Amino acid sequence: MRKLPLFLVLVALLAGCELGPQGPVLVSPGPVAAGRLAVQTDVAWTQMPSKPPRRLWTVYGPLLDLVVLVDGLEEGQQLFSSEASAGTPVAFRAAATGAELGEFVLDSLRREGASAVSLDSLRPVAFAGGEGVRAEFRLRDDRGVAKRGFAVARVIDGRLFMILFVAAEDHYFPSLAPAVERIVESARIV
Amino acid sequence: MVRPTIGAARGLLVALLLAGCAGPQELATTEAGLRLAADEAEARLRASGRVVRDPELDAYLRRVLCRIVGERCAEFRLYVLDQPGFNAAAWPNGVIEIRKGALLRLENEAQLALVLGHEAIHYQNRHVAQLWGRAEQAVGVGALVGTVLGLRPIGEAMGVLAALSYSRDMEREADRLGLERLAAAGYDPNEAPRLWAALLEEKARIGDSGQLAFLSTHPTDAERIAELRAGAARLPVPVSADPTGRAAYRAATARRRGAWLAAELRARSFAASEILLDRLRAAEPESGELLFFAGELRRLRDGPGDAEAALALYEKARGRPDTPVEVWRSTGLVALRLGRRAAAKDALATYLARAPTAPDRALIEQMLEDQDRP
Repeated sequence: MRKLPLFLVLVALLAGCELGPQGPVLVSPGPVAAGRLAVQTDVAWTQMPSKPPRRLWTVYGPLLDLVVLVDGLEEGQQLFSSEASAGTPVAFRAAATGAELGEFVLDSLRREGASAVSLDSLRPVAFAGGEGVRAEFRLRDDRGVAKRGFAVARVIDGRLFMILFVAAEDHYFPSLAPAVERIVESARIV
Repeated sequence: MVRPTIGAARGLLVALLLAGCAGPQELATTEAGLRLAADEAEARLRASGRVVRDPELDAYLRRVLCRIVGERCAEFRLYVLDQPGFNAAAWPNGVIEIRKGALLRLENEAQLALVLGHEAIHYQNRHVAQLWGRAEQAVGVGALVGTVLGLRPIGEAMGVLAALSYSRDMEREADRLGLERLAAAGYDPNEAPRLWAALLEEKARIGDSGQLAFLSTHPTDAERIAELRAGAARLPVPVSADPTGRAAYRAATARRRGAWLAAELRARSFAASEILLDRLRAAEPESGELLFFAGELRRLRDGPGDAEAALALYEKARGRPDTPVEVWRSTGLVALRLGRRAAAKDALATYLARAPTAPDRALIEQMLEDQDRP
């Protein structure tokens, strides 16, 4: 049997996904509660099996587009749960400044095998009813595909809430980014 | 041209093994299968984001490779991998890979020539073909290629690397020829035992890890280093102003070192990075760039006493001509961590003044405003 493409496995690990018996499920347009993170989507997504506090959504498949919703990551936890790398894990610090949150996101992506990771911008934004931070970035996956993405995050009571989007730069990012932006705008903590 | 897949190459190998003991012709066919697998892996490597695209650096490395291997230079294709840690390897199809992390750890051109020449000898003397053949039987082509491409989880890859380990006799042969070629190319052969001894010392301090994959495939001990020292002593040291090529190596790599160091620290193998930075700083104690990255190591590690140590290093780094402007940003972030709001504000404001187009400008401005709040 041909092995799963490595990046697919990587992406699944990337979102803390457990490749168990449960299959993907459809996320229909409308309100969605991702734990305490409540959002509204106007397009349908496929939710892959995932390990809380992470949820993994995709439209065309995780090789091409991926949304990770993070619902309350705790101090010391990793954003992604792969053990693909040696060295000290990239752990979330509840006391991190906005600048350090940006580093946390980018370092977590690097650790999962992304290369040529570069920050386009890091700025304060309103997110989920409070002050958050938004990082926009570019990277190449391990097949050399150029991707763009953004992450919008906020720390509440020492826990990280975040929506991260990464997709192939050609077609998929511009095609799906508006829908993800609307999800980000709709986000609130319940 | 349609190339057989890795699966087909593996099938070929399995068929050969099932057919019984391999004679000379079968052995040659096995090598052909491995070469195909390596060609496939090379195509994947080229398409991946793991190869450093830097024509100027590639041209320099190629000049050094050709100087050490001579007229057979055209047999080799050289790739710099965007990976931290020390590793270099030859493949059965003439590929030589070397990590950025290795380039960061080499001190001069003689050491670079030694590593490239050593791998070329493993290829030319068919050590690589023998090794891959053995490893393929042990772990399968898929695992082999995954490890070669650096795509396997580190623990798993270490097991494959053990199967890819050269024998002591192969290493002895590569050492002997390597020393002769080094001297013949006009480099100081004493750099060979120096480099291997430094790697062995680093391993003694950090243990086995992906940072020193080179030593997993190239078994090294004190006896080997003693043999290298004795071998080097029998060869002439070239008469030149710089027989190690230190200045040439520094000129070729200086502009890139900051980015390489940043990537090395992002791998968060802090013990290995600390040894590296200590060694680099011993050679260049006045370098603002190295002081800055020594501070960065402590900021990212964030262990007991690290924040204070980082601030002290940043302070020494500031004002030196080669210090990155980010030293002001990092000073501000660490000062904030320590609750020193006034110092943080000064440092962050200086960062914005000196890096007006910084990608995090809006966020730093917000942080400055926050410091003014009661």
